[in-house]
Amino acid sequence: MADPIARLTVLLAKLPGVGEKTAQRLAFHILKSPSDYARELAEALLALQKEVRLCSICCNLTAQDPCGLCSDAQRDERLICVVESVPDLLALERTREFRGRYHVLHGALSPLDGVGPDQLKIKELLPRLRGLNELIIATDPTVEGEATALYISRLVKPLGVRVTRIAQGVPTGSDLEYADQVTLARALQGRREL
Amino acid sequence: MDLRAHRVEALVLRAIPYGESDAVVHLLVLGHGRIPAFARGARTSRKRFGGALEVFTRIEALLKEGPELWALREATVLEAHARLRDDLHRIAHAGYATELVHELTRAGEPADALFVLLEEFLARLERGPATSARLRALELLALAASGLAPELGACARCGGEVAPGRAAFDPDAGGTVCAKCVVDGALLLTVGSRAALRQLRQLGLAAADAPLSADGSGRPADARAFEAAAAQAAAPLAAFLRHHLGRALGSAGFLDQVGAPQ
Repeated sequence: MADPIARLTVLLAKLPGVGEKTAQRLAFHILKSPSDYARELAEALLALQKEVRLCSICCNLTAQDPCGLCSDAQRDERLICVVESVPDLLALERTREFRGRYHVLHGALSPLDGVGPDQLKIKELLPRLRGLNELIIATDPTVEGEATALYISRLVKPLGVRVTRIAQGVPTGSDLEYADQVTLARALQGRREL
Repeated sequence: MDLRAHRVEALVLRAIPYGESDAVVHLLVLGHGRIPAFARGARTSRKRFGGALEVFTRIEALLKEGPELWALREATVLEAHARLRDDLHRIAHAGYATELVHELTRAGEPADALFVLLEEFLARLERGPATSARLRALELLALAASGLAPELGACARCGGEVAPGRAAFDPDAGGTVCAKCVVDGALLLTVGSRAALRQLRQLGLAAADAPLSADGSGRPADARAFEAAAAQAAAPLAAFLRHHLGRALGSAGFLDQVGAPQ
């Protein structure tokens, strides 16, 4: 059996953004902390693997099915926002602007990598379209995100559902002079009346 | 260690995320060929690269040679080909073209003919619908630029004559084969497909957008029939590419899933 400190250091160093030195510092921090903390951390990690699964409705990650967002009666179930990933969902939730439901695709179509519709959670979206007022597509403004948005739009529009795409343009607080031509062109196309 | 800086024109073939905030960008650089370059902060710094590292974009890049990866210091958009993003089939065709050129180039070997071809393909695709004829022209011209042009006239095995009209096509042999040399498993080029491929190879991408009648009169061809003929040639050329590349292109699968434009 490897030295426990070295073992934990190696495991922590596999986390994104954590180098070997940081991992070692974290390992010593855990070692110095009260023993309850190490036990709780271990239990939390195990629970993560054991309990977290996909919501059977929106494909969000959740420990209870349906997830809290899908079972919240205050949210508008006739409004669905499609996102590529759970972090994207969390980013939208932080705005506190959206009170509808979500659908997580777990990826985006990728023409170059050959990632097609079958590899995303698109077919899980189709049963949710009945009675829907609007489907908002909030995929990334990349080629992959645009391809995904166009594909879903082509699939859903014939069913009579209103499909919208989130606006694209200049980020708040940024300098126009540093914006690239694609972003600026999109911002001009999407201008609004004042 | 040579750490020279170059201000160059390049096409973005793909950008692969690296770590939390960086990317390795595969560029097709005029005068230098395909170069994988490390773009520090590409995913987090909007000011540094903006949308310049999106695939299909033609950029002016400041590259610095490194011992393994080159470093991408600056990138300015010269042509974003933004209208490609408005249509799913255009995205699929552009993705296929980009992957094909990526696969036909070797890192560090100049490939200016392929640079010019890909840029013209993307520009034409932006202006018109995604067509099978344009894809076939791209395949033929890219293969020719790489020294891998398929034989479409004589027999690729014995050099003898292959009668005009429909012909057997054998990727292992290198193209059309005569009746004596044909083996089991050879594919078929219809009369129209063979004529369309020969015209596309001779006249290039322009012929895909404005095909000429096969009777040699110089009159415009029936565009729909020409497109159908080009579509029929997709399978033989795909087999030919598989033979040379050793695998099917990932983007070809995406093209199949997206389907032909309506």
